[in-house]
Amino acid sequence: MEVKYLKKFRQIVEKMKKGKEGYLFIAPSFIIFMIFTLFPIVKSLIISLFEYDLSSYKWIGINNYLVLIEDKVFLKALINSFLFALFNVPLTIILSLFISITIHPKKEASKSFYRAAFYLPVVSSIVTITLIWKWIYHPIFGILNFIIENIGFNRINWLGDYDFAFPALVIVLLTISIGQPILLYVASLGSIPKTYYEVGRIEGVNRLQEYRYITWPLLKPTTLYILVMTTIASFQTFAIVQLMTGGGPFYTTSTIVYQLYTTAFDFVKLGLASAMGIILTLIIVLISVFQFKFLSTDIEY
Amino acid sequence: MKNKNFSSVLASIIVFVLAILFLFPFYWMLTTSFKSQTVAVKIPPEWIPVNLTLNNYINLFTGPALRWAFNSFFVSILTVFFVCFFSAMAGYAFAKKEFWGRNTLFWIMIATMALPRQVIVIPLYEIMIKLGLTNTYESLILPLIAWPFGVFLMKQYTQTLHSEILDAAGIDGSPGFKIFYFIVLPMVKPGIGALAIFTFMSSWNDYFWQLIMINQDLMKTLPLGVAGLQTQHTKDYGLIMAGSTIASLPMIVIFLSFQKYFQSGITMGAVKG
Amino acid sequence: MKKLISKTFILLVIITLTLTMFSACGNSIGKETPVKDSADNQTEKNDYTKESSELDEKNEVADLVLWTYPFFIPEGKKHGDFEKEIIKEFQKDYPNVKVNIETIAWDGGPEKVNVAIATKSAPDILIDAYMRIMEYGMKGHLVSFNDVMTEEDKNDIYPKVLEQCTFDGKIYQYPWTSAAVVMAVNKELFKKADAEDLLPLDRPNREWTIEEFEKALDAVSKLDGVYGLTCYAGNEMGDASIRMFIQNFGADVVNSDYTKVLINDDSGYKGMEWLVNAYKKGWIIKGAESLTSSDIFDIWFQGKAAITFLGSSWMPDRIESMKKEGTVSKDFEVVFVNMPHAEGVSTKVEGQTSGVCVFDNDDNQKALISKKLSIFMAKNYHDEGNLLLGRAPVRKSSAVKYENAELRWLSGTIQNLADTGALAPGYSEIRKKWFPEFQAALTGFKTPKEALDSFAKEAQKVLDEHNNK
Repeated sequence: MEVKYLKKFRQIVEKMKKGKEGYLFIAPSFIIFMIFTLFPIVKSLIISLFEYDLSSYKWIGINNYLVLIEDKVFLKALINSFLFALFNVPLTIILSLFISITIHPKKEASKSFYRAAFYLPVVSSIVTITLIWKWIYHPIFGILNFIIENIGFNRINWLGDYDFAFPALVIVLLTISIGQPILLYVASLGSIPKTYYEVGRIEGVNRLQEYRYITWPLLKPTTLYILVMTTIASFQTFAIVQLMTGGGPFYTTSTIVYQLYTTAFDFVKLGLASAMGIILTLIIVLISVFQFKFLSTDIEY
Repeated sequence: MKNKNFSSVLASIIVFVLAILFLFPFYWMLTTSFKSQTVAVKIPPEWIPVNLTLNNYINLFTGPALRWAFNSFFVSILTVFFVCFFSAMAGYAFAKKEFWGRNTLFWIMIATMALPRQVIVIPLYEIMIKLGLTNTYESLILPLIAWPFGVFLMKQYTQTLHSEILDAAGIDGSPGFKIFYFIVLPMVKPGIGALAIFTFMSSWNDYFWQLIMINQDLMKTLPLGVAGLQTQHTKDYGLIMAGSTIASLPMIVIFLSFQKYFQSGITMGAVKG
Repeated sequence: MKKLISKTFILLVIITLTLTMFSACGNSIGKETPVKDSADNQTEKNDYTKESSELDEKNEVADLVLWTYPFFIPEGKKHGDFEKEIIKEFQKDYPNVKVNIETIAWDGGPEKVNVAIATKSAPDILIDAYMRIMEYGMKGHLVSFNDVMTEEDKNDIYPKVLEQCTFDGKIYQYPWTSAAVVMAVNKELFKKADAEDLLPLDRPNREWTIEEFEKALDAVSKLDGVYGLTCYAGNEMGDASIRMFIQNFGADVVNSDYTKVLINDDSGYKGMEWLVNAYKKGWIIKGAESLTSSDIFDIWFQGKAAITFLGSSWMPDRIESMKKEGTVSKDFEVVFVNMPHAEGVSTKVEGQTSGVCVFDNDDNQKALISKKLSIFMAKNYHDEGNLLLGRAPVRKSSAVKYENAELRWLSGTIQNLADTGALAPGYSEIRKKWFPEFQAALTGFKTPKEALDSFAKEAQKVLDEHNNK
């Protein structure tokens, strides 16, 4: 028995020696990855079972999770995170698809103007965009209220109103979400061979049918990618909330990540915050798996 | 036929209006940044600013804004350099080298990619404190190098190279690193370009992590510093908008001058990713 | 070709080296950014002719670390210069005590202190505001001043101030300056509305009742585009002032041993209802539910609201300089008044004392010399410190007398200091529960009573959780 194991062990060592170079090549990435990604993931799970404030650990089992299930503010944030995705993702896909299809046949110069216009919010940092919109939304000095008032409506406190605060934030999120999809769709549209459409035209399909039966199926892989990426990004909404509303009014715009941040770094309840992180992870992984499983089946590559 | 024209013209108009709506915030930021506080809060507003002042910019630049800009660029460039170099190395090994446990190690890295980064911030925060790295450049750079997206992208890219060329070079008896450096690296350049753009943007926009790690004024990045302007004693909207302008201008310029690369880089990231 | 490649290789190596060097240097920049200066110049040669007790002092050897926030900025000098000068004086008596001063930023400084405590690298001395100092004290990180303070010394400090420095009988903060937070009035608007006489300016205490306050608001809101009062519920900053307004209806925030939240009694409800009604009536600025405490000053400076919360000593100077810049009306005139109070309730004032504390770093000798230095700073330089900040003296014996009538009046209000509950365990968490409820009340999502009850319930939960630890 022992001899057998020893033999196997020797074989492995032999193989490892042969692959020495491979290990050396992956070493820099892998070592840093282990310390700053892999280890923290495991540690996060462990911390979530403790009460921890940087100085002392106290084992409390799954108590943190039980606290969260009963915490109305957290549940509200959880629902909001879903709502952000629910509104932002379809709007992003519809809007970016519409824009891409419209600008695709245009000349290169105007195409690049439009691409730039819609991509600017993505490159100019989320903080900048948020601050500009906050200034536009300002209840007293804001330009939006000035316009609203001038066309005969009442002023709205965009970031303080129950009905408007959430949509106001979705708009900002949308402006930073559609840039990337437009670039991707435009590229995908460009790679669809013209002959497909020519064949369609000979068979007498109209414009709408063309989109339905030729363009849309061919864009599906791109759409799936955009769907997954935008969903994940929507769930991680943080800067907009932190800089614009602080979760208000009355938690209507709070998100999981914002709750995680305040719990961890304002209240130093690191165990509880880790539990939030684990829950967020589970949600994101489940949704991504779901999206891939159910949507990739009818994609024709 | 008429119908078709009408709908496409309508679509064009809508997209044009949308584009204007997307550009307006930038116009408003830029013009507000040249207004004094009194002009900025005037109602009705000055749509086209008449009373221009450079004071906001002077205030910013006599403050720490230049240092913030340096920090932002320094961190992003260094991050890009290390991510690209290390990822290319690892991607090459995962794609073309035989070694025991190769697939397992690769899948461990890939599996973590599906996780949101927020899940690791708390242990990471603890590590940084223990290592005494809070308020340092390292604390901003290391976690991004540790994120395995680059390795994945470079592995996918390197796989498309023909092994024969590499093998031929290997017969010469060139040692591994030489092959990597002189043959593989030039061949995966487009992949590195795409990765560089991705990395630069994620480093530049890494507000969440930067907010946790940095609290000294002089170590702040541009987004952090500008966000901090609005928590000052009183709000000076012109100043905040001037800060926002400075924080976004470099990236906008970079984007406009390398638009093509962005397009191809992002597409490649999506296709391979 | 080969040459080119090897050139690029060399270039790359050079870049890598420079970058790593830069990053190392960046590291050191990061660690040394706070102005680190040692004020250990030994200004005087030892003088052995002095008495023996002083000889002992001369022999005290210690290496102290002092952290300070950018409080004191002497005209034309840097942060930390004022502290450095004091330490130089101190070293005339203690030439062998070295002090390293580090100025930490307001923004992020508290986290830095927390991290230092968690990693057992806290400074010896810290100059800060009482809320944070007392929190460190309650968590057991500080040594108390009880053993080094004489009765005479204690009696010289205003009792309400000393209360803010004391927990469980232990004095953790040696007080230096205090800042009263009252209401600030834009007098120009009242002149315009011909309603100057509605302000309680002729009374020595500038106290007024709710009814009088309402009349003033009503009169001044009649001006076009002017609201009576600023208010804010956008985030947790400045929340204590709003609660102090409610406290002036008679309610307390918590009981004196911080075990029970009391704000939701009948008088508390009345206060909250008053605020919500004033908002409905248009006395309070529109949008208050999303404005933050840093938004309201501009609204007030721009003459869009006549009275503002958070009036304090920095305003007169700021307004003068804004007049010069032309960013505020030329006739702008600030006057301070107390918050209005309900019938039968004596005026309560919100105030914050700041001072010096000494960390418990397991070294008695060091702690003792640190305490001596703390007292030396806050006692011997009490008046200078206050004058620099325009703040209110904490000592009865103080000779501080401001030329500016408003500052002079303001510094007198410190004697009416009331407890905001800021020393309650878990306060930082409690205050985060406030603004969402206040938002809910202002927008009518909840009734004032519901909102206040809900806040009290949440606050009680936090309090219990922390008290049970």
